[in-house]
Amino acid sequence: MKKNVNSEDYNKNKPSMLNLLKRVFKFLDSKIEEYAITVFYFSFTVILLNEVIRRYFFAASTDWSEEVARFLFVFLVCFAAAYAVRERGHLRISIIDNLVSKKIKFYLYIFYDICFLILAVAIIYYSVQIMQLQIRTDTLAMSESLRKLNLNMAYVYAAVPLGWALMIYRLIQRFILTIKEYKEGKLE
Amino acid sequence: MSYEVMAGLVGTAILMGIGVPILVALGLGTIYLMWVCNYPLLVVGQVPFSGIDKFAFLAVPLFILTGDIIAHSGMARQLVRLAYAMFGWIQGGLGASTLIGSGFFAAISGSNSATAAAMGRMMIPEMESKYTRDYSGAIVACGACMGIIIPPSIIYIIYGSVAGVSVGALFIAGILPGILMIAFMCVANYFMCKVHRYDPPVQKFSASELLKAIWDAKFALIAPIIILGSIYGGIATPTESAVIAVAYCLIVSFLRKKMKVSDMSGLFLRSGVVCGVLMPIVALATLFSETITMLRIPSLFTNAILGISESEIIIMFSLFLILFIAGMVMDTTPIILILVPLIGPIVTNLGLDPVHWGIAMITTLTIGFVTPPIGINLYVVSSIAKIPIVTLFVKSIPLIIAMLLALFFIYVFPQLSLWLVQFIL
Repeated sequence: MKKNVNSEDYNKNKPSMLNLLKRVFKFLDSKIEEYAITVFYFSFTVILLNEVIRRYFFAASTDWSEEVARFLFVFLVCFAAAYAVRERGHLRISIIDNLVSKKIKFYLYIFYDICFLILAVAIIYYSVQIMQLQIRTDTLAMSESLRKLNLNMAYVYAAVPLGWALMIYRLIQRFILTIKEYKEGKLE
Repeated sequence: MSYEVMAGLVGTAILMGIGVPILVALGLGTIYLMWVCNYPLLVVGQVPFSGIDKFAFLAVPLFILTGDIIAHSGMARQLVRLAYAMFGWIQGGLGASTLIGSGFFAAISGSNSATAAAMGRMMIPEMESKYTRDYSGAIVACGACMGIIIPPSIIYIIYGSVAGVSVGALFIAGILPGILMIAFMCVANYFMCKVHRYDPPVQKFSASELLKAIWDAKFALIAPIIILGSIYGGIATPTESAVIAVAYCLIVSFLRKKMKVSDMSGLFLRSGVVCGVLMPIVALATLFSETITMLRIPSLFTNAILGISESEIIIMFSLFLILFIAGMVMDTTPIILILVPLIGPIVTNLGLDPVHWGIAMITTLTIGFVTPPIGINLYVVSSIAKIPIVTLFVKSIPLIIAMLLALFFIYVFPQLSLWLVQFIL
């Protein structure tokens, strides 16, 4: 018995590529939104602060800071929206919660998730079309410094399909969790 | 209006009513309406980017973060002490200083729920001994409405971008109406204390105590001066002033040794997550209101409201009722995005100033924060203090009546919001 546990333990910690990947995935799965939100948020704050200080004390300014800060903000919003999906934190009118039985509530939750899924698929479908359009027409950013980088706007636009795809992943994850909770009678 | 369009609008309302997340109901409703009317659907993929990609919106998380830092570093408590030094000698002084302290806090924070959370955690345990727990919760919930009336305010930023009004002007216009609402609530609280014999005065007014409290709170008091001063001094846009305020609050907290680097990521995360909830709604509600504008629904709505009566007072009152009811059942952000394009033409028709109207609209909507079924302040306070929402609402009624009285003055006297704007700008 004891030996068994040990060997299982050994297997778990075996330094194989697969185990490493599993651990990386597990880490990303639990923390990716939190890290992304903090990093994007912190960096646009620093960029803007730098800009204000430069302008006020050194009478110098950049043409890219405002635009880059805006792009970082869009990325922040996309990841934060996925975080809210995970926590069932998206605003909704919750009057009905107190009026229906647990069973109906469970079916309603499934209905909400399906509605969310349809919207997410539609947004991803059309945003990918927009990206294709941008690549075809060679759309560049507004500011001169960014134009020099020859960065296609499609790279920035990728925030939308990426963020909404992450939302779909979180939706499915939460969907499975909801079914499990309902079966165990723990659905709040 | 054709039946398909009607079905789309009713369907959106039903989806929202049965509890589908607001952004999903708006998104699906819009896609249906656009599909029925053969509008190009490509814009559905564009708006989740372009609707958010506005420089003004960057201030939304930042003005929540400033409040969180002030609360975390203990500076919010100094502000309440200052309010207590000013009014602690009157009966009901602790309640009044909670209300005024919420006002001070609101001058740094731009969110009502952040104000409710911070003041609730701090003041309910303190007030409990002198009032009942339920009534202390009600004071906090109503005081926290000031979070979005007194500048800075994330709702002014969103209204400004929808209605095309200067956010700076809105910030200034909100000051006097906010003070008026606090004053009315303090009077209501005074009468409640007389009736229920709560909180009899224990100390006398002392000028030296007051000066000491002002000195202790100096760092917290400088923050609103930095925010408003940098906007009106022409140094910064509202977004940049938010960045300056965040930097200032962080530096002061570090210098006072009330903040560790490890605390920062948690604070950033908490206000960042709020954007994930608000901004997708902003994007999809914008698309929704553009679609119904293309369908000429605003002009139908305008004609219907203007057709009610010739009298300006009755039209104003019906607008007030629409906003009041909308505020009860829905959150402020989607209401502003959907109703501003609908109500805008009526207001222009009546010859009202958009700044004054914005203040009147937002002050009306704030009452929805403390009324069931959807009252965010009630939810926040009830989860902090473990008080049932209905009890909290019943105890809030005197304060809500005070706010409604203040609203009457705000509607009737545009000068209340416009005078400071004309004076300063």
